[in-house]
Amino acid sequence: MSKDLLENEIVKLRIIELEYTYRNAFDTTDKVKLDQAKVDFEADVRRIYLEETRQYLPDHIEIYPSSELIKYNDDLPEDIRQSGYDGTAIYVSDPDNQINQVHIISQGSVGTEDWLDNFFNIFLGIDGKQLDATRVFVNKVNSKVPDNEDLLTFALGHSKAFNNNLMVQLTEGIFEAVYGVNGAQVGITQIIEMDQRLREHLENKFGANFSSVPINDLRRAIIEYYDNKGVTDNIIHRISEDDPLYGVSGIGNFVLFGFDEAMLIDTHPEVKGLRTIIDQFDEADVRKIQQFLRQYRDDYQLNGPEGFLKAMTGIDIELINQFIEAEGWKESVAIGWNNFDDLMTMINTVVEKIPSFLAIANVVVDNADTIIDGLLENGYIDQKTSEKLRTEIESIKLNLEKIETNIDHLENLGPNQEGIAIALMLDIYDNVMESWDSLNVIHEELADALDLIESGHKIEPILNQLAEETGVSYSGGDLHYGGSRSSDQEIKWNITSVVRLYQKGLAKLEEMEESIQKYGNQYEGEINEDFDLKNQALQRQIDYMEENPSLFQNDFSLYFANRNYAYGLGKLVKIDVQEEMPTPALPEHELITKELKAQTTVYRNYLTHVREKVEELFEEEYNVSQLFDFQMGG
Amino acid sequence: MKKMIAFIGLFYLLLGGCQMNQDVRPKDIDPEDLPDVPAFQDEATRAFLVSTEEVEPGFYLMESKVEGFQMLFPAGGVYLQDISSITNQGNVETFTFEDFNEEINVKVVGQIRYQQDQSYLADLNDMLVVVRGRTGFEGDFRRRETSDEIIFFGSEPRTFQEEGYISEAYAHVGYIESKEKDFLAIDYNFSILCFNDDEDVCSKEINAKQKQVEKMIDSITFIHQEEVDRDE
Repeated sequence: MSKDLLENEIVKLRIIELEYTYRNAFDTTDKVKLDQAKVDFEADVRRIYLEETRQYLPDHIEIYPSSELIKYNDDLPEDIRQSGYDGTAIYVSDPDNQINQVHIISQGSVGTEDWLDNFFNIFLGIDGKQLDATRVFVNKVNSKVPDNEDLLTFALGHSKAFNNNLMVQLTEGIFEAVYGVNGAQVGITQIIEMDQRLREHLENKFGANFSSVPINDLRRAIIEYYDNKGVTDNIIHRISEDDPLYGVSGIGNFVLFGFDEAMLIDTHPEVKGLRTIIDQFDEADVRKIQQFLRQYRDDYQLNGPEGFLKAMTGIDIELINQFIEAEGWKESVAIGWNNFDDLMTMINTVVEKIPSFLAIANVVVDNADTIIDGLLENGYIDQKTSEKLRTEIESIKLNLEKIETNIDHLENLGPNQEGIAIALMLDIYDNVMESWDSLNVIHEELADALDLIESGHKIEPILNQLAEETGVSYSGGDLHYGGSRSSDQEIKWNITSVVRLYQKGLAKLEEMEESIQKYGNQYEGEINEDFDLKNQALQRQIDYMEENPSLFQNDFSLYFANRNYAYGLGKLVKIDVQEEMPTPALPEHELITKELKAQTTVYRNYLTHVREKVEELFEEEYNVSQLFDFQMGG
Repeated sequence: MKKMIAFIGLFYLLLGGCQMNQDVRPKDIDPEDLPDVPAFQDEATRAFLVSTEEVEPGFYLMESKVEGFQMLFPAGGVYLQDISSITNQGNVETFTFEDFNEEINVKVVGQIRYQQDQSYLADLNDMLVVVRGRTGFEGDFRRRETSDEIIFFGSEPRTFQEEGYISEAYAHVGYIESKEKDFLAIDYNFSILCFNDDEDVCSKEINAKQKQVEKMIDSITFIHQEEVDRDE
């Protein structure tokens, strides 16, 4: 494989993280703001590269955010603008060293989702949903770069983004390498849906009824197909043992491309991850749940939880709410009358669907103990919480039993017992709603555990785990060095922050010194020079008066008149101005500027002192002086 | 509550309820009263069919779940739920089906993907790249334009590296961009697969299937919201 400039894994991880933080900054149609964000991003990329490798990236770098290539269009309606791919391409060029490559960082965070979403995702897998958008972005980057001959393209991505990048790679093999961290695995059905040639290949390999082929054979055939296609050579996947996506990847419906046990890392030693819990599920049970959910996933996508409930059980919440909210029996009757057919249809549907719903609900509830035990044992919940959870599960079990009884009654009703049917229906509705409430309570009880599980998905714990031996750590995207190790308390220096402050401080100092200089110059110009000018003008006036006394006869007439001389003015023959002008001493600006300069000196000394101290602590090991000296633009 | 129910019950006893005549969709009809073909007998497939009337011999009208497009659907066709999906907040629907004739051992696998309001649809040339990626199509696209669509289409024979069950195969792929609305498009791919050892049978049957596939492709049309509203 040709040289990957970003081959240092820590650099990759930090840049993926960095790209996330620029999400809002890049999401603008204001060209000025976007350009500034690109400049800042490039500076951060260079800084990270230097912090990690002590080397410099080539001079020629271009940054292409997706908002610029795809979404950068004022005319676009907002929902369309937001529908697309999120990511950034970093193009690097150094012809002298044969470097012409672009690194595509796809954004992939799995956002906050409700428990029902999580339920679907666990059993049916998360797919990226952005294969086409990703492909289009890569295509646009390819046209946009200054030189796309012999261009190497590298794909990086976290979570769903890995899934998207991988899909593009499998279908077209256009990436030199694909790097993923805590990525969403590719699902067997996902990839068969996506790739026509693969479908044809599998039909050829297994015959017309390939859907009945055992999962393991199918998986093996798929891996073989893409291996032979030559697109799987450089897929690298870093996984935390505590990543929930890794936890569910054993359930059997996934093809693990790029999986390497050596790339597994335990980021949260205090818990044991989810894999051991989920792997304990009965495979047959899992299949049943998957099968069931697959039927209703579209309804959930289209119509949300209520659509899902209706598709699954037949219960139409809207219709029932009309009934419940009716005031007085007259209104109920009216509603019943107006919606009679709908009500009866609903009841029939419910009778039809509830049995299979109950079957699945019971499977889930039966496995609940395994989950609770597992969460307890693996350190995610404490005894108290586990008991609360079991209470809720019991309540759900009871409600399921009641539903079963009610359904039995319903099925055995004779004709013309519609009233009773409606009553039973409302009862079933209550049972279902109570169960739904229990699920909400369960979700709340699991809040802390879920936070812990979620943090297993993040990038920062991986960075810290990888760097653990070296005393280096990461927080908030910044690099930290551990302080004196002889002390009991570990003090960490945020090197990124110190360097940033130092450089900003220097820049500030320069500004200050410039200002002081300006102040001095201005003082000279406005005050001192001006004083001289006015002084000179006055002197000239005095000279003129002394040389031409007669011209000023009239000006002094009032004076003479007051002197009681004989009227008829005498002739003014001489003016002699006593030009002593005792002005108070002007403040000497030199004193002021000297004082200001003294202050900047104190500040400069302070910055230098901090730098010296940091270098004292870390120069030997980490060569920090290089970091201090680095500035964008030389 | 119970008193109310009792009253209601009384009312219905007296009035017996009435049946209104409505246009009923096949999915709400008893399967026994539906044509005895896979398209209607398979529960998941039935949900897409609009009526039991044959539009053409062997073909019925189907409508996508998000009501984005309609198409002629073969009587022997069965919806493949596992490899179909609705994503992107209901703006993208992938509809995959197969029509397998066991007697002659020939199968058609079709996939139609409806997409709306996605920013990646902006540039037609990008989308042709996308279609090539998903289908592995290596041939040239031909272009056709109507009053409301621009259509790129192509077909090519398919061969396999290993010997297997298929003796002959053909693929049809294409991309349809709507002229009536921005960011609205459909891409499709069809595979005609012959599992029959007899070469002559395969040639003949694949030819026949080409016509059917072309008929289905030609019938793919966008359903625009105004039409839907009008019908309701």
